Amino acid sequence: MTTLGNALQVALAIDVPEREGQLLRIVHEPAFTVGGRPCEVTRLCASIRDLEHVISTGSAEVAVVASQLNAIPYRNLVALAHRGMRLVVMAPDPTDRQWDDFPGGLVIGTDPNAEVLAFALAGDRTSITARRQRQAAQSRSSPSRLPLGAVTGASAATSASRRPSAKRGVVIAVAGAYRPSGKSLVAAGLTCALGVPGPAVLVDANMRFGTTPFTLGMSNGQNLCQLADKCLDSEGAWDAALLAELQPMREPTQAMVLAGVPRPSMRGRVTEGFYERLVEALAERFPFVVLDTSGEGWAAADWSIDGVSLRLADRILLVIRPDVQASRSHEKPCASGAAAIVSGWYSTRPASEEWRTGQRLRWSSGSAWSP
Amino acid sequence: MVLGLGVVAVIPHDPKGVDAARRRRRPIVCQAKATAGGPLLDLATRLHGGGPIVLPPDVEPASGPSWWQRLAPTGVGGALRW
Repeated sequence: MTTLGNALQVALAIDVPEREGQLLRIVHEPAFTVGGRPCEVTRLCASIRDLEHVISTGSAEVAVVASQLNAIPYRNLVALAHRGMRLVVMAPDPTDRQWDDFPGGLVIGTDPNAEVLAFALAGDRTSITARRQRQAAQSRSSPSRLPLGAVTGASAATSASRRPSAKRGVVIAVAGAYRPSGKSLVAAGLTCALGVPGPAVLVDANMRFGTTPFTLGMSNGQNLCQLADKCLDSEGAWDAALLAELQPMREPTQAMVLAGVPRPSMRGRVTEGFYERLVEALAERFPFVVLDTSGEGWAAADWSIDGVSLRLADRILLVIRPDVQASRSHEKPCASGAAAIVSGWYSTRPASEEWRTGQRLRWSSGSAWSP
Repeated sequence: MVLGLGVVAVIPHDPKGVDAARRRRRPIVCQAKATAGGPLLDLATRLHGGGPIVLPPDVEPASGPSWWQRLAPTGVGGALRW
């Protein structure tokens, strides 16, 4: 990468390859300037830890950070904004009230055009705030969300199925460490909460013994195996099959559930190829797909379906239950009497080859934890 | 840090809440007074990236009289009167 003389040095902390690519294209356009200066992306940060390093070393003048990076809490993002470097936040909903008081006020959407990005990189708070206020007024006059009271499972699935196929939802795998650790509890709770603002789907991908139908009071008759038996050769066939097999959680959430394998003898029907197609089909239709895995997939001898879940996931949450010895130790999470620690949170897709070959993983920051 | 990974949520030990949610066949985040639900809601909020997700807990049916209250007028009370 050649360094331009007076170029504005920018660090990107997005960790979503598509969005990073989009920003790189805009920033590296020859016509794109900020205050008469060309721009140059000097660092790509995969985690909050990387971003903190950039801020502490001052290796960039501006950092563009995704509000969802490493699931960073809002207060930690505010603390980062107070550390001297200009911080531009990319948030899915920049009109949300929580951003009104954000230090610097440089909050933009996840899909900015060159003009907005130039204003933000230049630190033009007035233009960004005016734009946010216009967006907020527009969204108030034409609410796009369905009223929660009117949402049923079928309507949620239908609205989700109308999403453009070019966009892919976020796939989250809830994994564990070879013993019961509360994966299903975390997966169900997370999906239910994610299903409040928009559609989300939970897939019971526990090939050992899925408990979702029992814990959530759903039918065992509509499940993964029924879906696998169908002829799914077109988008329409997928839509119809998913509508038939997905079961809604009750209000106020729009979340849907796909029950897992009802009997051990039926495990063989779920092949790797089918499961991969299923996850991709769901990711095209839902903004969030949560995979409740068996907790395996880390070794070659484990269930292959778990391996596929880990490979396809954008994010992996590792649920760990502290043992008695750990609970007695002085470590912070255990001292509070934790039942489970949701850890992990690293991207696998950019590093999938490293993952498969057992090389270094791209860890996330530990800064998301605060006592 | 746990196993070299960042901790994104800590779910407190809440057997009562988990048990109550399981009996009602509802996710833990929908259970009133379940302390384990809060961190999951917070995590979901951060995942979603928008404003705070507000999930009102389910309205639970009013509990009936306890076993001794049920026994008092008929069983024990009756025996005493008898």
